[in-house]
Amino acid sequence: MTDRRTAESLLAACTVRLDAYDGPPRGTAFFVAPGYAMTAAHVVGGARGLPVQLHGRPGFWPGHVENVWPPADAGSPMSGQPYPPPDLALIRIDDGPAHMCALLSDRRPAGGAAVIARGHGRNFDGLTVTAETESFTLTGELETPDPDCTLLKLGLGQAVRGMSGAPVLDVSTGEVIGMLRTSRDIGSNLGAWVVPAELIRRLWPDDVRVGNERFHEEDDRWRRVRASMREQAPLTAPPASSGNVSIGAVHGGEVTVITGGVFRDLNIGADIAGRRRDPDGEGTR
Amino acid sequence: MTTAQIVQVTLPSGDLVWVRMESPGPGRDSERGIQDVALGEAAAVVHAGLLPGFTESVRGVVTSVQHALEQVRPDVMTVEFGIEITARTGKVLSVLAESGGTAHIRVTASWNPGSGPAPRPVAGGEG
Repeated sequence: MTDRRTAESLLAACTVRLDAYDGPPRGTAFFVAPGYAMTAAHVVGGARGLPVQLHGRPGFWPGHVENVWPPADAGSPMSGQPYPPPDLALIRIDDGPAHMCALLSDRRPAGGAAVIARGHGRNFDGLTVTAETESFTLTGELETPDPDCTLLKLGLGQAVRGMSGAPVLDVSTGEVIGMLRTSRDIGSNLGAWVVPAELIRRLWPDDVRVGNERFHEEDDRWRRVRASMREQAPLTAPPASSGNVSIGAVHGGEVTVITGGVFRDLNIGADIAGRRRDPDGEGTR
Repeated sequence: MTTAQIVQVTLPSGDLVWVRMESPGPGRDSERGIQDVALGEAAAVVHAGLLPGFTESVRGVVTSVQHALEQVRPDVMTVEFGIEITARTGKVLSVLAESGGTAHIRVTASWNPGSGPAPRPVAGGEG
């Protein structure tokens, strides 16, 4: 199994469906430490103490909303408006089997990074809630009215209902770079907004931080994958000065070839995809 | 553009009926653009086969027509109307179906031979 596939399987192992207690599915969550999961505040109605149930492959986990940023009563969104930033909720698990925990990045991802999000939606038959993944490209950042919260903007992927709370994996570093919270248009591939992992790490309480670090010290599978991907990165990426960067429009083919430049630092627009060809013509990023 | 699906719902009486439920398509302004993407609770309730508010809507219409006709006391009364089930975030609405901006209620009243419409009471007779 390639490192990327391993990272994707680890992402799947830490991702769960979030249901209202004895109620319908509400969205997605992911484990961040033993006994803790993260989701979007609007998924749980911004309500502290709300009982919920998480459902995943090994079973289910009853829990409750331990904290919300911001709580619903601290600035309820107007109808049709996105939830106030940052739109995060911490779930405390009351019981259930052992689970994987996400390895969160502590730095901003590179512009143009290829990522995937894994969430739970009703897209197979309109009724059944199933897990699905979607690939995106990091296209920029979005400042919010909260000066401490700048969101990441994704493009070139469709963020459908149920993806709120989905972890977003950088497929070149193997780290979770944030949590998907808002679609930029559910009917097209315009992308999504993401709460960056560095902000999640800044907000989570010490118990969660310690639990996350301890988990990855005892179970180093995710860290080993990350290390392997970091080792391989310089080998597969050609020198910037000799690489070919092709840029194509969303709804079209490749239209321009630019030689040279450091692609990682390019800030590209929502409707533009960029990728660098590997010397053998297979890898993309 | 809207998309429609047929879903089975359970009436409060326990009877099962099939309902055509329309979902706004990508062309609908209210569904376009920036929006949080939790799973809609309202749609889930309908998908689960429940119709909260259905009983109240039907009872309200029938009772209103009954009150309107109680002074003429028909032997048979038929009321036809449509109900539109609208799933929106946070709640399920059931409203009288509209056609051209007007809600339609077709009322048919009939009397058995010999019974005839009841005479109108004299207005202000209580004085």
